[in-house]
Amino acid sequence: MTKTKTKVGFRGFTKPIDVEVPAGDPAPWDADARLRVVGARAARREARAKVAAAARFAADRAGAALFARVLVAPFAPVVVTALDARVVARAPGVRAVHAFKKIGDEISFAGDPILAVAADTDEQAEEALLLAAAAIKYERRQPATTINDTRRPDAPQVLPDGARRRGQREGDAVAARTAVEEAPAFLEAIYETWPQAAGWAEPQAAHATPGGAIAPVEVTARGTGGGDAAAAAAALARIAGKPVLARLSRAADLALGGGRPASLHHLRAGIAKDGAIAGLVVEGWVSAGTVEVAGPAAPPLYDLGKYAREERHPATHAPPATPASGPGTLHGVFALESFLDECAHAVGVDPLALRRKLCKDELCLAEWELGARLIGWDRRARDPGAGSGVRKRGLGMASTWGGGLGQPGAEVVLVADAARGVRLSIGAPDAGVGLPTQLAAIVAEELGLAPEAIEFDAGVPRQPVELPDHRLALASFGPAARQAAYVLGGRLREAAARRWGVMVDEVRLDGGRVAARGQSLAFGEACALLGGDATVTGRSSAPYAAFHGKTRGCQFAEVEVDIETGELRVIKIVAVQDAGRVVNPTLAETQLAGQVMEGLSRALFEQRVIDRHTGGHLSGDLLSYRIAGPMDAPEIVAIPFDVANAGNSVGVLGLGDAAVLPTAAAIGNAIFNATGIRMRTLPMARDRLARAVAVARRAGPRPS
Amino acid sequence: MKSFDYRRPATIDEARRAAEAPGAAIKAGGIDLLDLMKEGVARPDVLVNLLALREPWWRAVGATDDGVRVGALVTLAELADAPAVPAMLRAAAGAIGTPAVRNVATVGGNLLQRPRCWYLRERDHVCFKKGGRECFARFGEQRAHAIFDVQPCPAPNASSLAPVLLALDARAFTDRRTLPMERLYLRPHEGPGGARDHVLSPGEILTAVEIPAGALGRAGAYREARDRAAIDFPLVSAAVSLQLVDGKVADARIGLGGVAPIPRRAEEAEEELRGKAVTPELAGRAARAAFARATPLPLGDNAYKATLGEALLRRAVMEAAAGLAAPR
Repeated sequence: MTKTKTKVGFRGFTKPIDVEVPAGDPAPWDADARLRVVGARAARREARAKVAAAARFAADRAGAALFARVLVAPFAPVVVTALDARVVARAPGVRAVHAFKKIGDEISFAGDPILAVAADTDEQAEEALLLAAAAIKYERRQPATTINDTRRPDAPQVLPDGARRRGQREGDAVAARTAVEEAPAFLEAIYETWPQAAGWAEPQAAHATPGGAIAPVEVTARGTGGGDAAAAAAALARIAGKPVLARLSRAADLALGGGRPASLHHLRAGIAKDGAIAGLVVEGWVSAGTVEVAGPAAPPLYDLGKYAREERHPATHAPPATPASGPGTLHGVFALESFLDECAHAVGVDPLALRRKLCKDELCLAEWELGARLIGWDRRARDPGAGSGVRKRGLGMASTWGGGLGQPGAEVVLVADAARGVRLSIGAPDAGVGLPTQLAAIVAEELGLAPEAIEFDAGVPRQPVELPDHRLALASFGPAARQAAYVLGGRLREAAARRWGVMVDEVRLDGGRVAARGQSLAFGEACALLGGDATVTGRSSAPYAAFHGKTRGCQFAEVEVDIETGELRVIKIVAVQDAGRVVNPTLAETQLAGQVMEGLSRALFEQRVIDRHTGGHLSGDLLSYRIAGPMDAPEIVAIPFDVANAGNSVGVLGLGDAAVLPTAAAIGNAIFNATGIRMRTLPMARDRLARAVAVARRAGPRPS
Repeated sequence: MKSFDYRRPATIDEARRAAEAPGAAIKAGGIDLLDLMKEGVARPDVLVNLLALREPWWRAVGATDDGVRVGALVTLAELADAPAVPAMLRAAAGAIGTPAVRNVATVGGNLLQRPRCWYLRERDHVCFKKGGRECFARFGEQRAHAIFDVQPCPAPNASSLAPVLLALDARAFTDRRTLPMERLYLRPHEGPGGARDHVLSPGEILTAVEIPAGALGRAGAYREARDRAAIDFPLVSAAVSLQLVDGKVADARIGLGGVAPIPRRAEEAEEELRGKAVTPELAGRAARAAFARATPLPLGDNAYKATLGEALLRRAVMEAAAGLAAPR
């Protein structure tokens, strides 16, 4: 560890701090750093290949000897009563069959893999699956698919042996309850979110080759993730003794790809005379199939007085929710940020003014000010539903927190080569943040090269596939890349210094050359000096003590609602999001805009539908599982808020995670401002909106 | 997908012979059929592709002595741009799917696509429409299902064009007969089991629809509501065609989509309008009448369609009455 002075902050607010930098890491780029490549705009390297359909994904892999498909359970819960793999094995072209389940196994969710088949052609594998589907028999039982199902006295048991999830508690429940009860004003509301899937654009696929006893199976999942496809491919490759390409169907991918849990949250607040919140009690239910997903932790932004949360995590017969962007907190942010809007309305203050009262964080305040200016917050009508006509406009906002510094152990390998220049590789697929472009910029910055001089390869076999967490991809791989480049640069300097008889400190890496005291070598020539020592592995360190270890952000929405039909148009969304250091403004903006689209999609459309009687998965295609399309896109103003952070050597934070979370509450709050109708259920789909405007119309104008 | 024999007939006679083979399915654009085949719901032994037919009038929109004829192989993109057809039909066509879908999907395919129901379109729920005895939607997941004629199957007809053609009093032509639009479809309880959605016999091929000359000069409007702004099927749609004489409704024809297993004539609303001058109050009364006898499913998750449909229909009536002077 080396103690280093550094300057952190953002435009209009900086301060010096000391950080402990682990051995091997360079000193962080700070608020005064003058960088050449990092922070400059550049187009995404693979953009052209992606839009021209030339990009190759795992599913496109040619040269597989065998093609595999995976049969999943159609209903749940079921017990397998007949499963004859021999019928399938005799089907034309079939070379291997692997059963994930056996007779007597109980299956708790539709979509759970039962059997995988490898055949000479993809079509033969598909036909064999149809045979398999006909040959497998189940005994069906009554499912508990929703949180409400699990609360019935006769609720079916989900976990084996009567086990129950413990759930979570935080805060002093007695103190919080007392504060709520003794406050002069009281407000409560219940928010509900339905489960959502987290599939990839391309359904999971993986390629496996059989090996000897030492290296049993090599699995490649280049381009997309592939846990379940990889398991099938690996098992079948071992049986068949040939390479296997396994692909999941869209329906299986939508069930197995993880997703957001279902939730119910009951919030009760005691409000003091001055509008401050004296206490907040959150009672919640969060359900993620048979796995457990943590609920929302205490929101770090606000002073909520005495805070307590008690949450149950009932298991259901639904596909598991697994970490996706903000798995634990989408519902938490939706509930809290909607509830703050309700509190503000109840005490007659502007919702942004209430937040300013509850939060003094300088970064939040700066982001709010910018967001409010860009949406034109001063246009916001004080009274909800104030506009005339049937199409009413309104403004709403919500804040977010989360994301943060990367995780330790992410690996980047740099190979410097006299002939081919510098090649950079990681073992994980690029989850979409543009790692090739961004990591190349970091390496180029450190080595004095043009970013185009750096080659990139993601998802290289035999490097660890374990991605720390794809939400933090750049925050983890970025510092690893800088460390590798820093070490490589150090070796180049030493080699040049030895050759020229100068001090190492005198050697500069700049403009594609290595130079000192009037002597210089082209970068490639300098690499030749390293001999066999030209491969460096960089590993991300644990985060340093940072200025802000968690991101903050906010979104402001303008909507138009037709109060007769419930038609909703989101007109504009302004997103201001702390990203730590912005490595590439173009990519950061497009990523942030993408997160806003995901947030809008989850706010308005996405819902995983499980039949309440059969437990069957009904939203297994992209017409039933609706994702927002281009025609649903509002004008998006995406502002990655550049903050010198010093939490790692690059100062970069995860941008994607937190920016998905506030969109739903911002839209819901804007709907309230436009119409006086409060949407407390996600997704705010058309049927719910149509029902809500009909109910409001029957109720007539509300007494003010 | 199950393997199949593939036929590309060049003449209508070849097409008919191929389509009469047991297990044959007729493909035009293939938008709906290929989806069903990939899901393992449709499993034809023979696939008869009509796109190789050398019958130019199947792909044409043109005037006839009786009105305007639209060939069954006209694409939705072509229909959306065809000046000869009423604006309400162009509007309905132009709102379907995406540009890529509309470039391939045909008028015939849109009219004869299978209903939208997630149980029907999923292989493992053997529902009434797939030869089973159960309807899973009745007490199950039903947000998009019908609110009229819900027994024994509430899967709504999904064609956006059909309610408009119904309002326009169109006729459908097959290779062997002419049918009014109203007689093209079968209610689930009228068919042999639930497998068929329309009256065409195996091998019978829809060749064209014709909008009668009398309907071309009438005032019309089309409104629909759906989840997403594109790539979605209407949850409810309303097509209104009015004959206005001296400021009064001499005749009204109204087609509703998304609310019944077949495209629905809103006769109660038509009756309400007849002989009167259209005012907002009258439009509201007519719209209420259209949905007064709706019978949402027992859990009520699709009941919003009645109030939503009422709002859309009221607007469509007002728009049709106001838009008389507009070019068709």
